Amino acid sequence: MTDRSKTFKELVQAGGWRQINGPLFRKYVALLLAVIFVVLLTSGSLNGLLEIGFAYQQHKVSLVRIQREQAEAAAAKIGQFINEMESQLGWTTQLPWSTGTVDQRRFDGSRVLRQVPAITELAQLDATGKEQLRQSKLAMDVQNSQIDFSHEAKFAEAVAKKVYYGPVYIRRGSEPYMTLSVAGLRRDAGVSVAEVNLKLVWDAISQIKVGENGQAYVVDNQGRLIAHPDISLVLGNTDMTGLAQVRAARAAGAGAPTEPVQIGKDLRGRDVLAVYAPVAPLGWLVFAELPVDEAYAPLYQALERSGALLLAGLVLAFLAALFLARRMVVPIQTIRAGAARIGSGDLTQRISIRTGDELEALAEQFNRMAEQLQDSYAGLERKVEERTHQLALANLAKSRFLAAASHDLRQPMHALGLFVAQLHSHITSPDGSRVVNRIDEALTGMNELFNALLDITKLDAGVLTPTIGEFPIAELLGRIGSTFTPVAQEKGLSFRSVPSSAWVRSDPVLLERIVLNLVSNAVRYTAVGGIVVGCRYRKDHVRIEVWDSGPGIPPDQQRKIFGEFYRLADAAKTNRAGLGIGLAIVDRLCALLGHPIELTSTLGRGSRFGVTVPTAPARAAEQPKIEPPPQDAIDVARGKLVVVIDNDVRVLEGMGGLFRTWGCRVVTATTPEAALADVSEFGAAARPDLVISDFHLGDGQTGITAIAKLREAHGAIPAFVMSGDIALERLREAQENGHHLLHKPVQPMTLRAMVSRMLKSEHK
Amino acid sequence: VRRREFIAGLGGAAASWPLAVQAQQPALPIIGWLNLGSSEIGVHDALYQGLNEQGYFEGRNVEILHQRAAMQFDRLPGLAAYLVRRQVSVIVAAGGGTPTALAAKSATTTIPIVFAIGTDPVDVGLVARLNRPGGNVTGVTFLAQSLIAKRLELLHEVLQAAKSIAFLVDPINYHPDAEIRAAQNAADALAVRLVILEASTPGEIEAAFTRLKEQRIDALATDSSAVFSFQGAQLATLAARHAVPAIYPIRSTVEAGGLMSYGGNSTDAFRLVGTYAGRILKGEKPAELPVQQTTRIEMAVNLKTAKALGLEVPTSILLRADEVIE
Repeated sequence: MTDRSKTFKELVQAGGWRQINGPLFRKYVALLLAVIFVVLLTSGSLNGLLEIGFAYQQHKVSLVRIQREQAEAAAAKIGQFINEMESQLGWTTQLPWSTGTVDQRRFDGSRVLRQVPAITELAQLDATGKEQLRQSKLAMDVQNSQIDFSHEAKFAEAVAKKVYYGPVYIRRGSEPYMTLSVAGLRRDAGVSVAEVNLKLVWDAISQIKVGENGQAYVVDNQGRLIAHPDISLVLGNTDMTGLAQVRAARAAGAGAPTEPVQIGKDLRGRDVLAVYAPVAPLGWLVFAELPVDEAYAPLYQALERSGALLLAGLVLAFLAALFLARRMVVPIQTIRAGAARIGSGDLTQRISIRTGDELEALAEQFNRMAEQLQDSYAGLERKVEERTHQLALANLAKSRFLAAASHDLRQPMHALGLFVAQLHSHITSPDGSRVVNRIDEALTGMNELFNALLDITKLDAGVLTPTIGEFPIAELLGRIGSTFTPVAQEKGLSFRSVPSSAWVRSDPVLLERIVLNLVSNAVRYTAVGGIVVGCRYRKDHVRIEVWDSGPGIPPDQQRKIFGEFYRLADAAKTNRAGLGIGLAIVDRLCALLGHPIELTSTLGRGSRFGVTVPTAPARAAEQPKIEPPPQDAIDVARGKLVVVIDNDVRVLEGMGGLFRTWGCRVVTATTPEAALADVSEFGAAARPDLVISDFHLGDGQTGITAIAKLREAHGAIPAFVMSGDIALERLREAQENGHHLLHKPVQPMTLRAMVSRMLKSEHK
Repeated sequence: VRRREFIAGLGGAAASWPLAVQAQQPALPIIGWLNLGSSEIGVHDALYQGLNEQGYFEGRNVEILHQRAAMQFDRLPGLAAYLVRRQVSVIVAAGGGTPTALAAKSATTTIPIVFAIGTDPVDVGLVARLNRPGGNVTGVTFLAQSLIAKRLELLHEVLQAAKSIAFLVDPINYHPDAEIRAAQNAADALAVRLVILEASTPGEIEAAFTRLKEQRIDALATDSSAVFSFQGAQLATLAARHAVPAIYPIRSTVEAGGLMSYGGNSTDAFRLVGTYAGRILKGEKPAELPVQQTTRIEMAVNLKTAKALGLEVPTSILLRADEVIE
């Protein structure tokens, strides 16, 4: 239970009430409600309603019966009242006027007046209709008035029918009266005429209790109210013929059939059940009326009770439905939510339901499924990891191989270059020179090819991470200029570098490589004319442009030239064909640095490559030294003491031979210590003019430490580093220590240019 | 009686408490009861009975504000005006007859008034008609005034030798003219001399008896003035002292020692006043409530007094008497 409630709470907290209160929940509630309601209705309430109906009918019948009995009793009472008056009056008409005294008659009259309060006045007429005695409660008695009433109905009718009931009349505007005449059995006994106050009939009527608010009343044969519990209505001389039940009853008296029970309205306009009974001798009608509301009251009460029970049942049913539906829906929702979370990838999710039924089993299935998913997912991840690891290892192996291959290949190639350079001075025959030149060219191509191959391998391996900095572009252009001016001159081309004071934001090494490749390409493919390198400003960018007067690139090939190993068809014919990956490297480097590269080319007129580089705010910096081409390099080098340190003896031999051909004095050593010792052989005052060291010297020594050792012994000697290791770290390390670094294999021309630059700066 | 009402009230309260709660307004309706006397007399219980019949119980759902003039007629207008100022729901002018009712009528034309009088309400100007009174006044008349002739007849029947009858009238608080005329007619018919004696205060009543004795008048009747109703005991005592047979309008005087009475049943009248007051509280209009007459006319005879007077009451009287005190 706590488990479920917790789950429920969680659902609510996660906006779950909406979830619980979903269509399924509502459906269940409605269904359960309907079922419970139908059961309630059929088992209890319908039965109850039927019983109410029967009970009401019974109640009504008994009410009507009581009413009728009451009306009949009242009618009987009134009849008895009249009869009693008749018999009382009878006492006064027993003896003929010829016998007895007036006093006797007076006594009789007085007794009647006292015994019958309703009789206000009593007149005794003799057999001829003459009034002999009149006694009154209100006025003085009159004796022997001899007024002749023989022609009046109260005498004539009484004589004819022994008794006469006069019409009801109103005295003093408010008192209902009736004349009642009784004739003696003997004709000479005369007639007694009584004025009867009918208000006293009210006593009989007012004692009739019809239900709580019902009442009885009497109407005379004119339809006039003569007795009513509300005496004021009687005094008000109310005409009752307006009431439907009175009309119907009077019609029935006249012979028309009628229903025993009338439903009509009483004087106050209430709906009533009316029954009536006639007062036989008088033609009066006694009505008993019960308000319909009251007759229905037990029905209403029963209905209310049933309604209340039904309502209570409904409320209970609703609560039960809610409870049951929640019991059913909450686990389902829990499963749903859990499944949703599993579906969204949270495989650690488990569904906790303790209902002990199919739902719990379902939840268990989900949990098992999630577990299996989790297991297989974990296995997959492990495999991916393993594979990635293997790949990484393979990559590492490849990198190691490349590094090793690069270093191990560079040393002999470097040495080869040096030997070929020396060969020039030994071959004097024109044929021999031609062969050596061919060897030289082949070697240069091989070098370039080799460098490019390694570069693109590194780029593709993604091991290059640019180090972005801000630097003046002039330095870069300067180096390009000094590198390519001699090469261009050799090919009979002009080379011009337009000075620029712009600062750019890029990786200096990689950007230089881009420009180098572009210029190198331009020099390679341009047969006549020249190359111009310069900068063009664009808002916050600068575009480094390389113009050539080469053959141009056809528009359909302009995109392709950035692909690997792509060469223009014509270029293949030239003797200095490259591998065709220079521009591929440029393209990759530009992508790496985020520098857009563009190409404009006109076939037969030349091409322009542009690399757009973001500018940086100019800072005070040393003016780029535009170095003049080393025309007098050999002269500068002549007689200078050059120290070459390398742990490869072939390189030492090659370098030593080359420098000697340039007229230098050379010390070659495998360690800085040996170099120092050799230098001292030239004399105590001997001081090296230039130190060139390989980067990796073995025994933990590097070119940088070697240079440092020599400088320690001989002061600030110009020096630079050469390395077969093309890793960028080497270059950066060297630069950080203020050394230039040349990558092996170094072409003799490049070497010469570097040497003369070093020596000249020293010279100054 | 009060205890019974109280218990009845409890029962009623228990049976219909939701109604009682609904009726429990901050102020209960007030019935202003204008009474000439200084206290209630026995018949007044009937008024409570009439109210109870209509579902009103003093202190529970109706308050009764008593204003009693202590027999000082000139105080009635002031007391009536006070009830009007208090804006009572109904004024009951019961006790003190016509002057009380007239004082109430003069004080207001809007507050309903229910009276109990012995005179003809049309004659004295209380209502326009008995059937439909039409104004703010209705009530009950218990047939005192119109019965003077019958009273003289009955008195003469008891004392057939009587040559003269004194008619004691109250000219100040009552308008006895019509009654004097009726009495005179009756006296003429009976062939007796009618001597009019006037008295409006107890002292004057005493003086009237002196004159009656001086003039050797054989018998006495009074008019229907409230003074004589309230001074029944004094009248009975004086009549006994002066050995004068007398007839009165109301029974209570006979109970106090008077010889005989003939008149409408005032208990009925007070009960009807109570029911009318209740019905008006329920919202009925006095203009539509007809003036009721008590139909029961009762005759009481005190045989003890008759014996003291040396009178033999004839059988015809005893036959008629509703109550005979022995």
